[in-house]
Amino acid sequence: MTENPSDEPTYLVVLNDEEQYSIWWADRRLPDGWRPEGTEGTKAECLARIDEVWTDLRPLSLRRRMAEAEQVG
Amino acid sequence: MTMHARRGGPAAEQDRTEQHLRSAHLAELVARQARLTPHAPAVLTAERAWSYQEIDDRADRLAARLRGQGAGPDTLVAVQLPRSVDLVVALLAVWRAGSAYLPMDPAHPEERRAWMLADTRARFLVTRSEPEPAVAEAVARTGATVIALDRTAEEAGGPVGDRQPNGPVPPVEDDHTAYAIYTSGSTGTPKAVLVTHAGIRNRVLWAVATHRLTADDRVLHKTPIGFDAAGWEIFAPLVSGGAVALAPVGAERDPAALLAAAAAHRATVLQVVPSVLRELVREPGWARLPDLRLLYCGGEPLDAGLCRRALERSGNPGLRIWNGYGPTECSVDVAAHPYDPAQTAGPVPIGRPVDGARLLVLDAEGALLPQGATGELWVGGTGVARGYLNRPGLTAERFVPDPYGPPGARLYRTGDLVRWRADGTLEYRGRTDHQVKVNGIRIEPGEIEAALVVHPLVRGAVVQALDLADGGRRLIGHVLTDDGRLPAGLREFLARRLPEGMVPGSLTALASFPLTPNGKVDRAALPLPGADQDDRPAFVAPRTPAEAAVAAAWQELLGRGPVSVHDDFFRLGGSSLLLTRLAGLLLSSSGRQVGLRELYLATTVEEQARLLAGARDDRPVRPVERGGPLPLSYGQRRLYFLDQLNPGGPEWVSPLLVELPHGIGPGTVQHVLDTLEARHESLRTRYGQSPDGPWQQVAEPGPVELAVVQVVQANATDAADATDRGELTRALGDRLAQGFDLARGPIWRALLIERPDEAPLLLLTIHHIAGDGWSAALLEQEIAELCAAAVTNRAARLPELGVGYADFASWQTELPADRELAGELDFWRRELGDQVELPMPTDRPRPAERDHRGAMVPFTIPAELAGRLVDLGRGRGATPFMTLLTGFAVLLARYSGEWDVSVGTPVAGRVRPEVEGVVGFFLNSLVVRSRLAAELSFEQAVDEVRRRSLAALAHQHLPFELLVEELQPERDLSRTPLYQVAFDLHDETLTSLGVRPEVAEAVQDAWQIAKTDLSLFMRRQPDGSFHGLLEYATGLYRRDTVERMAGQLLRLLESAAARPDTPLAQLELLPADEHERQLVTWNATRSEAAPDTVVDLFEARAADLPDAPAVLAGGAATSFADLDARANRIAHALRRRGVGADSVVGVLLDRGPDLIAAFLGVWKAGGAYVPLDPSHPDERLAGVLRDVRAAALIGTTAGTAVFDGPTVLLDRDARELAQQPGSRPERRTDPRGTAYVIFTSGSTGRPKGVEIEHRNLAHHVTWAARELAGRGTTGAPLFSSCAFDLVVPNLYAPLLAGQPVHLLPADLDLTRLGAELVAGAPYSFVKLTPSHLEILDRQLDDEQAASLAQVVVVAGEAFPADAANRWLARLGPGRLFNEYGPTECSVGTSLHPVDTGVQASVVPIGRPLPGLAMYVLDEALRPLPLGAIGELYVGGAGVGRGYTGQPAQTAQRFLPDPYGPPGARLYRTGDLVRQLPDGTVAFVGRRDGQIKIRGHRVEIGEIESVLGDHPAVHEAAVVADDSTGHTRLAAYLVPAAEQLPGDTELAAHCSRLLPAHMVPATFTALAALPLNANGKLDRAALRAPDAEPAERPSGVLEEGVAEVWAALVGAEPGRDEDFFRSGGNSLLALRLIADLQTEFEVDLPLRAIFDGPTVRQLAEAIELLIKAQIDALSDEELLADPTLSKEYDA
Repeated sequence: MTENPSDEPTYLVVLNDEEQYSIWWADRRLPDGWRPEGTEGTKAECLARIDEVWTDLRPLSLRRRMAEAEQVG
Repeated sequence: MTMHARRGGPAAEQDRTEQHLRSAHLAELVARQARLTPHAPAVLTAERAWSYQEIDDRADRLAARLRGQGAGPDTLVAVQLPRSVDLVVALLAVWRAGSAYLPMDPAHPEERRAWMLADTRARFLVTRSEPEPAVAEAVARTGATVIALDRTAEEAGGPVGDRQPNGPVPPVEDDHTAYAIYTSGSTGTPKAVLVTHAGIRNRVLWAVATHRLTADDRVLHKTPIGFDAAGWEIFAPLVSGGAVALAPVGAERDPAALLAAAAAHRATVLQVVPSVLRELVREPGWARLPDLRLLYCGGEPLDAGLCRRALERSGNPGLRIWNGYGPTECSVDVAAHPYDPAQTAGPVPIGRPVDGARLLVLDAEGALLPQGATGELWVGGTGVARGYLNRPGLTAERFVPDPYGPPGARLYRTGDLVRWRADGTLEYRGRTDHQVKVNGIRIEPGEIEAALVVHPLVRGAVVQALDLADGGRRLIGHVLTDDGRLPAGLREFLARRLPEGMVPGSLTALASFPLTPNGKVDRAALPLPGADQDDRPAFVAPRTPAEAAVAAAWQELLGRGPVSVHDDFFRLGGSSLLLTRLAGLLLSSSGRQVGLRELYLATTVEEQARLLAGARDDRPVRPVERGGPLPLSYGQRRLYFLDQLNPGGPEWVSPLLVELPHGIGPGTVQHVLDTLEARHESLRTRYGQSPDGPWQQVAEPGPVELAVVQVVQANATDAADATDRGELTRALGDRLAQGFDLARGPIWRALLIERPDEAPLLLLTIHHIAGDGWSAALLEQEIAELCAAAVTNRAARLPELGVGYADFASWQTELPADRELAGELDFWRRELGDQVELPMPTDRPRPAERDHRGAMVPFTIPAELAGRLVDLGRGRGATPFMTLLTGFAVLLARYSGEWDVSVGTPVAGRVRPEVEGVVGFFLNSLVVRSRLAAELSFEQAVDEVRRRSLAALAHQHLPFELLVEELQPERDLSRTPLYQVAFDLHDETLTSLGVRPEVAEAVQDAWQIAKTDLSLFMRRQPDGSFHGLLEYATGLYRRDTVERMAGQLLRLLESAAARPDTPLAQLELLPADEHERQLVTWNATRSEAAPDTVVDLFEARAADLPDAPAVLAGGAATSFADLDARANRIAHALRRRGVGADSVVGVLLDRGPDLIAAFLGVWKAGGAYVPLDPSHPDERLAGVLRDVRAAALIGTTAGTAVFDGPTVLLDRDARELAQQPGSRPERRTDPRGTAYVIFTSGSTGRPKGVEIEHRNLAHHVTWAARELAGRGTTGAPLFSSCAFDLVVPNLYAPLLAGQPVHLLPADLDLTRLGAELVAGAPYSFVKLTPSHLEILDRQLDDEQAASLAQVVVVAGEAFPADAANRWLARLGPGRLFNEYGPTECSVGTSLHPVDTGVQASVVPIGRPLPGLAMYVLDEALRPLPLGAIGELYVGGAGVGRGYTGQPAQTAQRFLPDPYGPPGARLYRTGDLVRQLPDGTVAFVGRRDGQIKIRGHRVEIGEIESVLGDHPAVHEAAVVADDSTGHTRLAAYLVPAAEQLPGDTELAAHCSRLLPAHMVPATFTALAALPLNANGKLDRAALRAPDAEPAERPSGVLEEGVAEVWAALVGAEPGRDEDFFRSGGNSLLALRLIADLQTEFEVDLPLRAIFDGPTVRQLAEAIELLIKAQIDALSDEELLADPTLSKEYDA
């Protein structure tokens, strides 16, 4: 009759204060210290988004300190 | 002509005849056949055969009459006749008159037929009965001539017209119309297709030629005449000299009748639509169709699986199946395809064009499409019809010029989507429009919609086809009315206008239709039927058993909630095809046969129940002759068999405890018992075994064994109560432990317990074979009556028993021949054929033979919760049984991780009213298999369990034992067959009368049996609560585990009742205290404050202890100061090459002091290192350096090929290095900076780099320095690759503790590992893999091993228990640890001290290291109950950064930690583990290391550890081999001594400890197991050996055994073939043993076949027995018995 909507769960792209990314179920409470990045979709879609945006795996605090050290140095 | 023909010879004559025949019309060909074989049968009916001459004569007479009244070419003659010889004659006559027929099925509504007459303006109406009013009116309006066949005249053989014997057929052109057939029209009006003589002739002659129809063929005509496919059923046999066999009216919708008709006429050809075939294959009776050679399908897509089933059912090797395709507009079929039995699934292609047809696949613009592209099918050629009668516009639209054909040719646009396959056949792909096929009928929903809106109250209508779960389809209609209510009588209104197949099964009224944004009706948003319909009559629940049976059957078939007795089958979505299954269900639930035709007419529950009540009761249980051995029922057979496995055991003792009236003494009790034994034969039945199988014999009644005990004086105090109960428990326990001898009896016993001041208790223990739960209730009632009668001195009033148990047994053994049982078996095969075993975790390993000992844990579902659950279920049509079973099934699924849950449940099994009062074993077991899923809501799960339970209950007729033999003939003594978990909700009416709770508790306490692994018994209490008992096998479960299960079930049910829409995976499972303990308490590990980085700590240590040795290698020492300076120089050199903060530097060096200096030097330069193993291939090393974007490489000139960036080469740059300052370069190491990147193998086959930060590393190394190195002062050895993070503590922990690292030579030969290690021993600690430990096992003596190190840490892979126990014995407690840690979590995650012997097969991985957290979670990241297998997630200080350059992979494995501090991450390990009751985590396997063999989940590790336990096996590895199509296991073994024992012994060893499916098929000896670079087993390097040909049995004994075996199984066995894997089952096993006993005259026990199920082993067992017999004989006896000695000597 009509194509079945996909049974695959929906995920969110999420990140913590260190700007470390992960994925989380869209319908579940997000653990504290994490916020949604804005992308919602299938697991593959969310992971593709992460591949796109998370270009530097270093935690934010480290990146900041290293940038400061560079300026000072 | 004759001369000419003669000259041309017979061949030419033949050719010309063929040519002539090809151009002759079908009527002419039939006439010719009548001249050739006038007396051959042409038409077969149930009553008689009609010859060609008879048919021909009658057709001629009717044709003459038609012609006489003006009929000629293109005259339309309506033929309104039921399927009969008249119909065949009339069609022939119409053609013979040169005219065209318009079939009018008398079963169609009168109004429709009247409309057809008016629409076609047919000139004639041939009919038999008086036309109905509407038809008569149409006749009057159109002026048609009615030709009524005069029945009496005809039957007398009289004239229907002037006889014109074989008269000439008037000139008829090929293009003249042969017939007009209506098809559904999308505009709402059906349209008549005009098919030409050439078209139908072409199709019929194609069939005759293709399927080689001859005079031997009998084609069943059953397709209603209104469908064009009916035509060839009639004419194909008549033009080829065969016979057309007429199925009775109505048979087309009654599969049983259809098969019966086909059988009665010995049909060779049968045409069916796939929908009907789907029903047909459920029917027994295929065996009666040995002549059937062609099954021709068409009308809708045909599934290969269905074809396969049909072929299987038929068993007829000559049967072919064809799939035909074609629209009415192209003369029945334009393409056809012979089904290839090699195709097992998917749609059968529609094949290649039939003769004369041209098929084009075109795109929307009419351009030809290439092979493989989907497009619309356009058809050209002979079959293309003239067009639609009186519809020129529509005709022009659908019949278009053929640009590719001869001039003037037309193509018909089918509207079907197809594509060419590579093999040149066509594949059907769907429709371009809304047209649907339901049960093979082509339907334009628009036509039905148009018929609906004719109703004055209907303002709009939408009709759709709904796909059903079973592959069928049904029509559903939605109508728009002002008030949203369904107009009364709408269905009847429709039924008057449309054929039955077009009336929607369900009609729903709405006040408005949901619309899509662009204003069209949103078809997808329309509510599905099943929602309450306003026009349903007031609900009346079923009132009688018959009504309940009908209602239950409807619920299953229609998949819906409670049905009212006034509901209408068709309105609730039923279809005529479903009626067949309804009849089948009613037959199996009631044993009564109701006719389909009757069911079709009686459409409400009430009416059908009335039919059922009055139905034929064909097979009552009747008394059979006593006096001799009688057969056993299936239930008895099974119990007898189980008893013989452990004769006289307590497993089958069932207790019954009755409180007797005060003052009843032993004398009365004895009388009561004797009366019962005399009354119930099963209580005095004896059992035996003969070559034909087990038998039973009813013995004479005798005095029943009665013992009397006095329980001591009990006061009404609690303490005394306890004593009382304790004594009771003891007395009960003694009795329950006492088994029975089935051969000699008695089969029941009684114990009278006299208690002062209290009513006496009577405990009966009965062998289960003699009674079931129902029997217990019967006995209880009869005891009460007998006691009452004795007290009042009156005659007891007991119901008369017409039959005994043995009568039932005889009745039941006749069942398999029964038609209904075949259907039952079909159902269960479908339901359980691919059943998966429920992998419930157990506390203890499963013994190879089931341990029947058990115990019970009681609990209660409080009334308030029970009430909410019962209401929840009731709202969805579920009984409390179903709702509670749902909760239990979810608990099992959450424990096991398997959502496909099979649970056994008992049913009374008293399927005949005659046996209601009989004591005996009637109990039957059903398996309810619920296919749940994590995302289903609890409500949906209730629906699923309800559906499955109803289906199971509706098929309870089949004895469980037959089901077991059918589905699981392979005996597995380690578990109960088909299910290992059971559920039973006891009926309130069956509660024990008046036994007080403490007495019931005493019984519970005394309970020592578990019938299966885990059973939940529930009983509703008067206050509304449910009392539950979880009975468990004590060999598998600990009591506290089962107690927790009870608490978890309650928690789960509470959660479900509170939020029934919660997905099953998210229902709360753990009570709050368990949740807290598992997630928080056990992870609250003490953690030190964040330390400095390792390099800072090293520098501090070097400053403290400059002269202490830091590295010892080859007898030379490097001091801390030297090492520090060397590292500083390397750092300066790196800085010069641009290495700075967060640069990654490759280190490619052999083991030596420089290696450590290089690592430290990288850190000192501010960078991170990636350790590279020089033994790895260059390509891999280069890839790693590319992946990490290395800034520099430290190596030697030997290794420069792998890198083209800056390098520090220790040999080349020695001078430069020497010139660098030995002082520390300026730097600040950030704790969050990268320390190293270590590559691990990735599941994708490409290694991935794990980035570890300094803080992660420091956390672990400071722990290791403190806890490992701190245990001594002598450092640690380094002897394996630094590319592997296992060695990280060996490198740094000694240095941080101020101790030396002992470097073993880089080219270390593992055969010298022990010697090299001993040379530097003792160490503070040694950390190594289990494989290394196994090597040391053989290289060190006990003393060397004991003095190797203070602490031995084993890590890197699963630590086998046997090795652990050996080393524990050598080291003593406190010195051996198993460490676990994925690289991603910085070396170490958990630790398990091996302080006591390990019982399990591998050592647990223990508890988290300080600062780390371990969670055992399910897929939804929820904590699992203790003991359940889940995935290990690691949180805390060790969690690393992620995978270099792989953000998505990192995000997938490093997840937000819901149980840790805000923002924390959790690493998903991929390891399957379980948590033990003390919080210790045990490793189970890899998520991907699991395999399935015959539905069993198998962990390879378990098999390996069993093999490793064999004294002759040093090491074992097992791999699964799928190369032969089925999974088999191959074992690879390293022998402990020189030689490996034979395969037979190894298999026997495994069989002792493992279930059969886990025993490897092959055993291969290896000198050593292949290890990969990291010292782990390399499974990929193990290859399965080829199977060897089976060895033949040899010697007299083996050949004798093989002969007996072959006679039973029907195939010659190989010498080592397993009986149960070769078709043997438990019943055959009993026979085999009995036959072997006879054959060899030995007392071979039944268990011999389980101990050794091969010919060789059986022969060995027999030989031993014979030897023993001979030893027992005196010499004289031996000499006197030459046969014996001869046999033995041979």
